[in-house]
Amino acid sequence: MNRIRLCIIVVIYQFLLMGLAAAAQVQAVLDRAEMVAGDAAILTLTIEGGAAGNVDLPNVANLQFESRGQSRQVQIINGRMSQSMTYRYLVKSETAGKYVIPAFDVNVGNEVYRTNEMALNVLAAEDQPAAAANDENRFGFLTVDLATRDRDFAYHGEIAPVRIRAWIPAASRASLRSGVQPESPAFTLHHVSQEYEQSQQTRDGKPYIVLTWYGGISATKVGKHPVSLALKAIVAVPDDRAAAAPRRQRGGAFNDPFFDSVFDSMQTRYIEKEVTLRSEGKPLEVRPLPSEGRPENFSGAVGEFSFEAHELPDSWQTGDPQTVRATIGGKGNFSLMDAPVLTPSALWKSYPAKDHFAAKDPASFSGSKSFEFSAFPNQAGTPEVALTLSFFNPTSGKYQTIQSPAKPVQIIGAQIAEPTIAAATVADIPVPPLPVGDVLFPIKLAQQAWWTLPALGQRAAMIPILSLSALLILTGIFWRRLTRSPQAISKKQNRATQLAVKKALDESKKAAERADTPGFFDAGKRAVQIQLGAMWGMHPQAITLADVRQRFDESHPLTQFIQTADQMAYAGQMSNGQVFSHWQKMLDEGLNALRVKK
Amino acid sequence: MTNMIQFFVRLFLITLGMIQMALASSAFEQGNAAYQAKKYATALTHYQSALKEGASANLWYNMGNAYHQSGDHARAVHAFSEALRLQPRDRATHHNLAIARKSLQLPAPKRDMRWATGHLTRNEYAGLTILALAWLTLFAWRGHSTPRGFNIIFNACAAIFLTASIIAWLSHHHAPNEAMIIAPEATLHLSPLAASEVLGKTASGSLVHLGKKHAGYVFIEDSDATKRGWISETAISQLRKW
Repeated sequence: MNRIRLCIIVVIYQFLLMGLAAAAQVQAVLDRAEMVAGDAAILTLTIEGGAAGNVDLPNVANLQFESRGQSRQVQIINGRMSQSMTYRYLVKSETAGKYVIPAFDVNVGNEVYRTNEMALNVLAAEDQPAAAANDENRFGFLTVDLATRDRDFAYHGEIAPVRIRAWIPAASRASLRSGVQPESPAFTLHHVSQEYEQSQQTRDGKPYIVLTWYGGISATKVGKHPVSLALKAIVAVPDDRAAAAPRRQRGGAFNDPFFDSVFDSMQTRYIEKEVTLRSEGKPLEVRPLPSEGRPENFSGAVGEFSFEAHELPDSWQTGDPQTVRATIGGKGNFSLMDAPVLTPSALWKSYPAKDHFAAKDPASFSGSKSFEFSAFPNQAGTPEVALTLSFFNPTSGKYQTIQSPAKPVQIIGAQIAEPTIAAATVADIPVPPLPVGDVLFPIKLAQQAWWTLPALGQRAAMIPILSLSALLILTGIFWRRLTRSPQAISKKQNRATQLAVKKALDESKKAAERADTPGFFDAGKRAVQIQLGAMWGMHPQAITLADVRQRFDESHPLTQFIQTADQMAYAGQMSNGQVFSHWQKMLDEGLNALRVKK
Repeated sequence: MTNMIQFFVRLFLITLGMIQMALASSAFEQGNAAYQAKKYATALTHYQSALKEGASANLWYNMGNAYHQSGDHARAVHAFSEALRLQPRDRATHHNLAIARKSLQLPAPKRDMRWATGHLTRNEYAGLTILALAWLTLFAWRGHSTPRGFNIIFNACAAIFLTASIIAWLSHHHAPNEAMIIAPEATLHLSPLAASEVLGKTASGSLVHLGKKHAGYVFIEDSDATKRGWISETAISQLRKW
C-alpha cells in the first residue's frame, strides 16, 4: 500500500516538475489583417507555460485597446502537463490607415518575453465590401484536400479521393443545414461519408472545431472550372465585439482567472447567422478522354485496374450458358466499369452481368468489383479463352487493355447461328429468350392475364366474401360448441333411446301378430332393458331380473314381464292371443310408469 | 317483378363491363401496332387511353417499353415499377427495368421489408386468403368428420396463408406513399415556393417518399432519408398503392 502511495506521489511530482520545467512561450495574434473603420479586431495574447503579470499594451495613435478577459487551459498530453493563459483585447479604430502594433514586453514569472509586431489595415467605410469576405470567414470556412497529384489537370470521368473539412470557430455553436455540395456543375461528389469526424484544431493561431468528411470527386464537364464546395449552416459565434464586462472579483482562492471561463462564459452573447461555408475554388482543367487509341470494348472506366481473380468453366457446350466470374481491383471510377468481355469475342454471346463493389477506403476510390455473368459459345473447338477489360489510365494518359491468363476450354456441340436460351427459364411461365446486352424484351401482345388484373382486394365483392367466410367460421364454431354441450348430448341420447325402445316395441307387436311367443317376449324385454339402461346408466343387456327386483317390487308390471320373459326364454312355454294382449298391456303400463317417474 | 328488374340491371352492368374491356383491349392493340411501327408517341397515347379503362401489368410493361424507346427513361422506370407491382416475378419486366435504371445511371434499388412479401401478386395473396378461409369454414362445420392428421396439415397451411397475407397487406398498405422523379432536372426547395432556397437536385427516376402537399409543391424524402425538401408536383409521378 505504501509503495502505491509513493508511486502516486512520484508521478504527481514528475508532472509538476515537467510543467515547471517547460519554458514559457508568448505569442500575440490579431484575428484579421484588415477591418473597416468603426469595427473591431481581436488581439489574442497567448502565454504557454506560465501566466503574465500586468500586461502593458503599447500606445498606438488612433487605436484603442479594451480588455475582454482572460482564460487558462491546462492540458496533459502523453503524460506531459502544459498550461497556457490567453488574454483577449478588442482593438478599435475610427480612422482609416495602416497601423503597426509594435512588439511589447510581457512579464512571465521572473522572465521578460517580447511579442511579435502586428500590422492592421483599417479601411474606409467605402471599402467595406472588400472586408466582407473576412467577416464571412468569422463564421467558418471549408477546405478541400485533393489527393497528391503530379499534374494540374484531370480527365473527364476521373475520380479523386477528397478530404473536406469545415472549420468552425471554437466556442461557437453550429447546426448544419445541408450536405457538402459542389458549387460548380462541372464536378460531382461520390460516396461522401454520411457521418463526419469531429476534432479540435488550431489554424493561424485560432482554435477551431473541425468537421471532416471523406469522399471522391469527379469531373463531369470538360473545361477549366473552380473546385469549390459549399455547406449551409447556422453558426452562432460569441459576440467578441460587445462591450467588455468587467471581470468579476472573487474572494480567496477563487479570485483566479481559471474560474472566469467557467462562470462568466454563461453570460456570453452570441451572433447567430445562416451562412454558406465555402472553400477557395482553385480552378482545375478538365480534359476530355482522347478518341485516339480508344478500344472497341471501352466502357468508360477511368483509373488503374487489374484482374484479381477469374473463374472460367473447363468445358462448354454450344448454346448452353455457363457462369463466368471475375474480380477486378485497383483505384479509380468503378461506377463506369462494365464487365470484362470474353475473347475471342466472335465466339461468345454474353448476358448482362451482375456486379458487386467492395470499397477499400472511405471514398470508394480503391476497391474491387466482382462480376458474374452467363455466356455460351457458338461453335465447337478448343480455343484459348481469356477475359479482357479496357480502361483509360489517367496517370499515363492512355487507354490500356488488360487480359486475364488464357485458359484452353473444350467446347462441344453443333454450331449455332442465332443466340438461343437453353436454360434459366421459369418452368411454368412462358418467357421469351433473354436479349443480349441492353436490349429490351419485346412488348406483350396480350393485355391481361387473370393474375395481373387489378387486385381482388380492391373489388367490392371481396369484403362480402371475407365477411361471409368469417361469419360462416364463427357460426360453425358456435354450432359445434352447441351440439357438443352435455344437455345436447343427453337430449340426443334420450332421442336415440326412445327410437330404440319404439323399434323394440314394434318388433314385439309384430311377433304377437305372428303368435311368436319367444320373439314377443324377447323384443319386449329388450325394450325394457333399453329404457332402464338409459335411466340407470347401465348397458341394456347387462340388466337382469335381479337388478329389476332390486329396484321395483314383485307386483310391478316390468318385474312380472321380465320374469315371464325369462321363463319363456328358458322354459319355452307358449301363450295364446289373449295372453299376448295382456302382456302387451302390462309392458305399456310399465314403460309409461317409467316415463312418468322420469 | 323485383327479380326481373335485378336481372336486367345485372345484365346491363355486365354488358357495360364487356364493352369497356373491348374498348380498352382495342386501345391496347392499337398501341401495340403503333409501337411495332416505331411510333412510340402514338403508342403511348393509345396506352394512356387503355389505362383509363383499367390497369394491367402488361399495359404498364408496354408503356415502359414505349417510354424507354422514346428516351423518357424516368417515366419508363415508373411504368416498369408499376408493372412489377402487379406481376412481381416477371423476368422481362425486371430486365427492362434494370436497363431503364442503367440509362439513368441509378444505383441498384435497396430492398426493404416489402421485398420479402413482394414475390406474390395481390390477387395471389387474395386467393390464398380465400382458400384459407374456405378451409377454416369447412373445418368449423365438418372438422370432426375429417382425419386428425389431415386437419393438422390443412390448419397449418391456412394459418401460414393467412399470416403471410396479413403481413403482406400490412407491409404494403402501411408503406409510405411513393413516387418517382420524372423530371430531368428536379430541384428540391427549402419551402413550397419557386423563389425559395434550392437545397439540391434529385436524380431522375429515383424513388421518393411523399409528404404533405402545398400550393403545387409536395414534400419529399428520398428512400435513404438523406435528401428532403419541397418539389414541384409536376416533377413526380406517384406510384399506386397496394
